[in-house]
Amino acid sequence: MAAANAIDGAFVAAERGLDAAFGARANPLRNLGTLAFFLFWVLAATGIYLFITFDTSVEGAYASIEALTTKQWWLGGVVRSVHRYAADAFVAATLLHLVREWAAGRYRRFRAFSWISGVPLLWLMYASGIVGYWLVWDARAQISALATAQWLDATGLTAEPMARNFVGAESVGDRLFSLFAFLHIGLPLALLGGMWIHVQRIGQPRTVAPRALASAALAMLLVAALLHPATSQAPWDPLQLPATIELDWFLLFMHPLMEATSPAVLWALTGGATLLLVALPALLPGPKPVAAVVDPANCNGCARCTVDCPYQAVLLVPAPGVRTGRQVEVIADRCAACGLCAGACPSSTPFRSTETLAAGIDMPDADVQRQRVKLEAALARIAQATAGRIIVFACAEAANAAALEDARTALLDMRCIGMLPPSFIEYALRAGADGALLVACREGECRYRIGAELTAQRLAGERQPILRKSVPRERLRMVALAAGEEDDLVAARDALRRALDALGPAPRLRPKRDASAERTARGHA
Amino acid sequence: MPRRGATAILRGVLAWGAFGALIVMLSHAPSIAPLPEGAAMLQVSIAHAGVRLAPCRRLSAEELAVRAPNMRAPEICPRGRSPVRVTVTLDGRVLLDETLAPSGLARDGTSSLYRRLPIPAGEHRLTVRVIDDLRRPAHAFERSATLKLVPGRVLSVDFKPARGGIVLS
Repeated sequence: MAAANAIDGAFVAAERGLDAAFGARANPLRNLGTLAFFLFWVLAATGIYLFITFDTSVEGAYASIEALTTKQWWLGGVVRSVHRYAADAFVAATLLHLVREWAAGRYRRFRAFSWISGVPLLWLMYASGIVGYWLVWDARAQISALATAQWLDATGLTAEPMARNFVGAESVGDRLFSLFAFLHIGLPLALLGGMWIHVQRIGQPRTVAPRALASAALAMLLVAALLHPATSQAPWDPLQLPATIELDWFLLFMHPLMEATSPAVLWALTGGATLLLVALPALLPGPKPVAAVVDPANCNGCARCTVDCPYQAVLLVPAPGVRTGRQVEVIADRCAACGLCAGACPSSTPFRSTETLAAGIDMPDADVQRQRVKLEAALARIAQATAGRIIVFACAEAANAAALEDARTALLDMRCIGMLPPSFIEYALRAGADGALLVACREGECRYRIGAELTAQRLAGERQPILRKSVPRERLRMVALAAGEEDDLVAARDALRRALDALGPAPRLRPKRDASAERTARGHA
Repeated sequence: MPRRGATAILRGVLAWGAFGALIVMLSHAPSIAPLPEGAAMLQVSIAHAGVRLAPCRRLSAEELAVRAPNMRAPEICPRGRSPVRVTVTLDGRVLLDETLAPSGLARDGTSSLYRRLPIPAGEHRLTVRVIDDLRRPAHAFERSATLKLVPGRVLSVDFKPARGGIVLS
C-alpha cells in the first residue's frame, strides 16, 4: 500500500502541475480514460482510410503500404503515422489509466465492475495492435507473427505448430491477409464493445473528450507524424533476417521478453497479471460503505437520484401495487455512500413541517434529520454574533475546514459536497447565517467524481434541485480546495466575511416549517 | 494575451511535446537484433505423422459375427502412430535430437516440431535425420549438405515425404 500511496501522491502532484497548463477539464492526466476513448476514434478514422488503400495479398500488402507512405506522404503517410502513434498513445493512456485507478484505490466495491471489465480490454488492446503490425508484412511483422505463434503453440492446444504458417513463402497465402484484416477489424470492434461495458456502471461517463483535450492530442499526433513518419522495415523474407529491427515497445515488448525467457514464462507473467488484476477487488475489498436507503413513503419516483448517482447504484423500478407508479431502488453493492442521491432528492429538505424529517432516499448514518439537527446546532453556536456569521458546508475530502470555526463561523461537514441539498443553504440563511461558504474538492479530484460539478449546477439553477432564485447569491461562495490548501480556504472565508460586512446582516426570516413548504418540497418532482 | 495565458500554453505545449516525444521514441527504439551478430538461423519446422503402429487387417468371419450389423466394417485399422525422431547435426555436433509424440488423445495425429537454432554464419556440414517408425530406426530419412550461410540467413528444415523427404530451403 505504501507503493500505491507514493504513486498516488506522484499522480496528484503531476495532475495539479498540469492543471496550471490545461485546467482540470482538459488535463490529460485527469482524463486518461476519456483520452483513450478519443484515441480509439482516431484509430478508427485513420484505420478506415488505411483499409481502403490496403491490398490484402502477400504480394500487395507491403507494396500498398509503401506506396501510401512514399507516394502519398502528405496524406496517406500522415494518416499511417497518426494511426501508429495513436495506437501507442492509446496503450500509454490505458496503462496510465490502470495505474492511476489502482493507486487511487478505485478498484474496490462499487468500482469493481469497471475494474474487472477493464482487464479483458488489455488483451483486446494488445491483440488488436499486434495484428495491426502483421498487416505491414515486413521484417517486424515476420518476427512478431512468429513469436506470437510460438507463444500460442506453447499452450499445446494446436495439433501442428502455428509457427509453421510463417516459415516459408509457400506457407503464406493471400487468405492469411484476409484473416489478418478480419482480426484487425474484429478485435477493435470487440474492444469497443468492451469499452462500452466498462463504463456501464459509471453515471454520466466522460467518453467524449473536451475540445481542448482532443485538439491537443490530435495536434501532438500530427506533429509526431510529420516530424518522424512511421515507416516499414525491410520486406518480409523467410530466407533472411535483418541485423536489427525497430521495435514498438508499447505493443511488441512481449516478443523480446519471451525471447529472453520462454513462452511458458510469458504465459505465467501475462496470465498471472490477469488473474491478479481480476482478483484485486476481492483481495483488497476495503471497508463496506453504508448504502443509501429508499423510503417509498417519501419517494415520488422523480428519478433525479438515478440520474445523479455516479455509479449507477440507483435504479428506477415499478412501484409495487401501483400500475403507473415508479420508485427507486438502491443496489447496495454498487453504492459508494457518497450521498449525491440524497442531495438530489426533492424531499430531502429541512423546510418540511414534520417533526422527524425523512427523505425519499437518504444515507442511514447521515440522514436529512441528522443534518438539520447538526445545522441548527451549528447556527446556534454563532447566534450570539451580530454580523458576518458564516455557515461552512464542507466536503470531508476537501481542504480541512475545521480550522475555520470561530465565534462567527460554524461548520457542517459532509462526505461529499454533492450530498448537500440546496435548500439547506436557504435554510441556513433564513435561520441565522449571514452567508454560506461551500467547500468542495479541488476540480477533478472529487472522490465521487461529480459531487462538486452537480452542486455547482444546482447553485446555478441548471440542475434540480436548484437553489431558489430568491436566495441572495452575493452571500454565497463556493470554493474547490484540496487538503493542504487550508490557507486559501481561510482567505476565501475572510473574503466572504468582508463582503458580508459590506452587505450588512441578512434579513432574519424564520424557516417555515409548515404544510405549504412541505407541499412545495414534494411538488418539485 | 495575458502573460499567464502564454505561460499556460507554453506549459501545455511542453507537456504534450514530452508525451509525444516519449511515444515516438518508444515506438522505434531501442532496436532489437533478431539474431546475435554474425549468426544465421536454422529453423527446424516439421509436422509429420509417423507410421501406423499396427497395419490394417481384415476381420475374420467370427469377429464380424459378434459385432452389431451396422458395425461390420471388413477392415480394422488401429489408430496409434509411431513417434517421430528428429536429429540435426551441424559439423558433427548434435544440435537437436528430439522424439516427437503424435498429437491427439489416441496418439494418432501428427508429430510436430518448431525450433529456431541460431548458428554461426559460414560454411557448415549439416545432417538431418528423421525416423518415422521407431521400431525400425535403421529405416531413416537422412540428408546431408554442405552449406554456406551468410549472417541473417534463415535456413528452414522441413520434412515432406512427397518431395523426397527432408527439404532444406
